[in-house]
Amino acid sequence: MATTTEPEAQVIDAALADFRQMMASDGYRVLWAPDPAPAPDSATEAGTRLTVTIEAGPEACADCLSPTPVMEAILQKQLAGTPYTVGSVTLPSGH
Amino acid sequence: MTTMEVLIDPTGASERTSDMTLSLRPGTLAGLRVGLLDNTKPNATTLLEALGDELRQRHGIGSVTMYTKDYFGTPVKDELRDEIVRECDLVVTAVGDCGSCSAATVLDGIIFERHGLPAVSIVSDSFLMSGQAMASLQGFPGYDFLAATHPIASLSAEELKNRAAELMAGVERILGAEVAA
Amino acid sequence: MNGPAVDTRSELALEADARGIRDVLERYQENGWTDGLPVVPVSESIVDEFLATSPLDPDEVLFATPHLNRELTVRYAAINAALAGCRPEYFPVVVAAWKGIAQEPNPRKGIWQSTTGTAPFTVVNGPVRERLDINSRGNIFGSGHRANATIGRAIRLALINVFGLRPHQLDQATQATPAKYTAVIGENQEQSPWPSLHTEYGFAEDDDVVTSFVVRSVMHIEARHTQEAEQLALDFTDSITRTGAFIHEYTNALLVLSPEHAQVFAGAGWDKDQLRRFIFDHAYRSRGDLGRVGKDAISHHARWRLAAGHPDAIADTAQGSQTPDRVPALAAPESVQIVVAGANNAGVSAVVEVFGLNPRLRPSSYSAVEYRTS
Repeated sequence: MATTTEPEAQVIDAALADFRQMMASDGYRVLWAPDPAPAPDSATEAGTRLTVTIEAGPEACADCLSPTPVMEAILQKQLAGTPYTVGSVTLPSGH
Repeated sequence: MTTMEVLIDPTGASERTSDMTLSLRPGTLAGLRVGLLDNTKPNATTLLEALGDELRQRHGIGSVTMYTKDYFGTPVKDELRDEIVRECDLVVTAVGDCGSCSAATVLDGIIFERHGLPAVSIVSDSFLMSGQAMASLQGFPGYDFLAATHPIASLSAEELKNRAAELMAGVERILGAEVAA
Repeated sequence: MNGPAVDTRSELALEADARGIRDVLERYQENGWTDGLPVVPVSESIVDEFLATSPLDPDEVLFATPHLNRELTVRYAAINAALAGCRPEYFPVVVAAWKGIAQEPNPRKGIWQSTTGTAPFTVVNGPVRERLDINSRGNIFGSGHRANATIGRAIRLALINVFGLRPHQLDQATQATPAKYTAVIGENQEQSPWPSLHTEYGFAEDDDVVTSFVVRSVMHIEARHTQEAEQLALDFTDSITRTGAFIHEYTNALLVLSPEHAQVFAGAGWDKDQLRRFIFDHAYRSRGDLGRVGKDAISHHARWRLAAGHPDAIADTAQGSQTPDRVPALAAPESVQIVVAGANNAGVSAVVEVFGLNPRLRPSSYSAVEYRTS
């Protein structure tokens, strides 16, 4: 599994705070992990791609989930000031 | 022989901006036909009705018609869009208080602007980011819409009236309306 | 008439509103619509002349970067070609270069925003070289030929103008390469002992074809000393396997051989595949070599090379092979592409370092040049 050091984790968590809050309004949790391996011919630099996982909480509103491109656009914007980029967004099963 | 010709912007920005141009603003709202687009989220109807009342009182608009989307999570269907464009002079759409419906509400506003109708999209401020992201994805970064204080769904009729009153300055700004003295 | 005492007019007897022209060019500079050099003003009637050379619809999209929400249509490729100083008849070659770029895996994903600072590099084959005077003989990487200079610049200006890839802004290259101004060569088919590059894709020698590479650098190889095919091939191999080239597990190279060097191989009975195979077989570094520069393992995040002692380090592919101390620089013989270009006057060639993180069948893409027939 990929590892991330503690200060790096803080940078990512801080960047994603607003997004987390927004997703929580619809009952979703946001988790992230560094990509284990880059996509073929990835132009991204070492260890900076994140896999973001959206998990449905018990009260999640199934119809309320933002479209994936919208979530990706938000994540890219939120991470813009950090060395990290979004590799992929994984949605709860059924989406 | 000299022939003067206009030189071309090589970036394409001049063509792209047509997509980022708002529809023409009417100046005064007096006598105009206002469409209210209800996305079926809780309290959307009441909030929109309160906004219609405010517009009538402050601007003497001509008529108010309520339209209802069949699903809040996706943009307005072409048939309903065309109906509203035919029957109205401006449109207010609400309420984007979740991830999917905030994105769809902002997209609805952009769709109406691109079809020549001044439009006000209202989301809740928890979903400001989602609306902004959708505007960027639609090639309209900086598209102006309103963020009302979250939550909307749990408000009473009286509280919704107050919210509508609070939103009016933003509605007037987006519509470019002359404010009655 | 009271003319000046001395006639300062040039032999061309041209007169122009030089100040007016300068003012126009300054406006282009102020708008940032340039690579820094003066551009050629473009009006609608001029764009029409360019569009008239191509069979494509002006609104057809040649290259798109979805993450930037930008796309290049044929029309804007033409505007920027005119801006770069192309003649209208160059435009089909510019279009073919864009079609090649669009097939490359990295540009559409944002490699031209990256710190690596790579550049598009275009090889032209076929009779179009003669028609447009695309240089394939002396001074191929140098200045002085309008077609080479402006076709490459047409690509750069569109990247700057249409995609917003301006330095310090969306283009975050640490240092980049002079090839970013322009990098177009013709293959010297006439002085090559071998079939030309584009015949490897199934084209005939007299078909017009453009091959597109994404390159990191052009490395000069001085080898006037030998007529031995093995010695010469090892001299190239040494440059290909320099440790600075190891970013990922493997690298790629475009060998640009002078006619004289190509003749050394051909004289020894080698064809291009034999040369490729020889280089592939010899292109490796010892584990110790890589250890000395801290590149003897790869990162489990991104598979970039780093030191074995790094917390993210995992073993590279070679480590698990029969010969763990012998680390190959190339994934396959096809990682080396070969063209012949330059003057037939010295034992001087070049290794063009081709960007690519993962093994591909061929580290480049191609497109036939299409003309409007009417």
